[in-house]
Amino acid sequence: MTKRTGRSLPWLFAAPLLTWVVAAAVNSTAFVMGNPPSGLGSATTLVAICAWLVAAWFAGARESTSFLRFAVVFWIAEVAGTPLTFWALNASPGMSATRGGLVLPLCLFALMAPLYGLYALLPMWEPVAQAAAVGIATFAMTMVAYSFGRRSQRLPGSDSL
Amino acid sequence: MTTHIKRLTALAAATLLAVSFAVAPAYAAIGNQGYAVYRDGVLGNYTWHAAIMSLPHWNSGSLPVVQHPGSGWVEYGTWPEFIGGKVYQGTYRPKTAPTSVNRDSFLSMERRLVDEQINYNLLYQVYYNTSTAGTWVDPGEVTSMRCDGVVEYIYEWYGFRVYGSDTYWDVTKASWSGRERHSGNSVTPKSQAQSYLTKITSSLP
Repeated sequence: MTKRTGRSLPWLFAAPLLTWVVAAAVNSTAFVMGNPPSGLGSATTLVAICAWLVAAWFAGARESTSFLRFAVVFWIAEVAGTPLTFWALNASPGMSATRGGLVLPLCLFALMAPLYGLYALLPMWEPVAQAAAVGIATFAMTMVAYSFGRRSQRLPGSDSL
Repeated sequence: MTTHIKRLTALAAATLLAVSFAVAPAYAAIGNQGYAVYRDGVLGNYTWHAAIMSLPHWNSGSLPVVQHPGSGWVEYGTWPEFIGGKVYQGTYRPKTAPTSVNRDSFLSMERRLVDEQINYNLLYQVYYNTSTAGTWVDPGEVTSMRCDGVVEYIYEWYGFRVYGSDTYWDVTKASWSGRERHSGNSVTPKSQAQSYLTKITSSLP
């Protein structure tokens, strides 16, 4: 068995990000207009979350600290950035399209739209809080998946990876 | 004698004609036709969604509103399509109250916007080519618009000012600056309703 610790494969980073972008694109119209998410939208959000868990498990098995850092930064940005961006958007003066009037709405879109397929199915609540709650849950599950992957690597006689 | 009868007949005919014009009903909107309606839930509840009533009441028929749904074109929509499971925010009119005849004009413009199959634009209320548009931006020259652009365009086409400075308030008057000032989050459906229109009622229209 070859020991492969402390290294990350590019797909461990690419898969969660790619599925994140796809989920944002599929949920875009429903999120922007505030309509209920489509079945496809919910499915892509679920895939995006699962991609994080699978990547975290493999990263844990490889004891990839770079993926761990990446995940922590990403999810802190997601969970803290959503309410912060929403607050900034409401507090900022209105600006036209060429003077930055779309920067904060686009940030909010990037943070909230990918998870819209799931949190919009929750009982009616403040969407920002719903998105943050789903983000916290996904982050926690990602950390759990990472630790499971790491533990599987350390099991005596383990031949995983 | 014959001439006298002819004159009397002509006079009677003219009177009849005048009376018929005077009592003929002008087309007039009823109920909430031509008023703007809003609901919340857009962009994570940052702003609202706007539409214009095409029927007198929300339950008068199957397609009571004209809206831009965010994909496809400006369209006649059902009430559930407009509400989208969110909370109704009220019925609004321009600050200068339109007459029912004015509101009937709004309805005709609604039809024209639907006929033109206009795409969606998240950045600009009303988008058009500034180099090819004439002095006024005709419905056929609009290439894309936002949901609050439908309200802004229809009201301002008929001179009912909604949002904008004294120079650039009319979104139907073609200019780069006018188009630009009605973009981004300088005006949103929520600010349009709350700051630049007058609320008629919070109840369902």
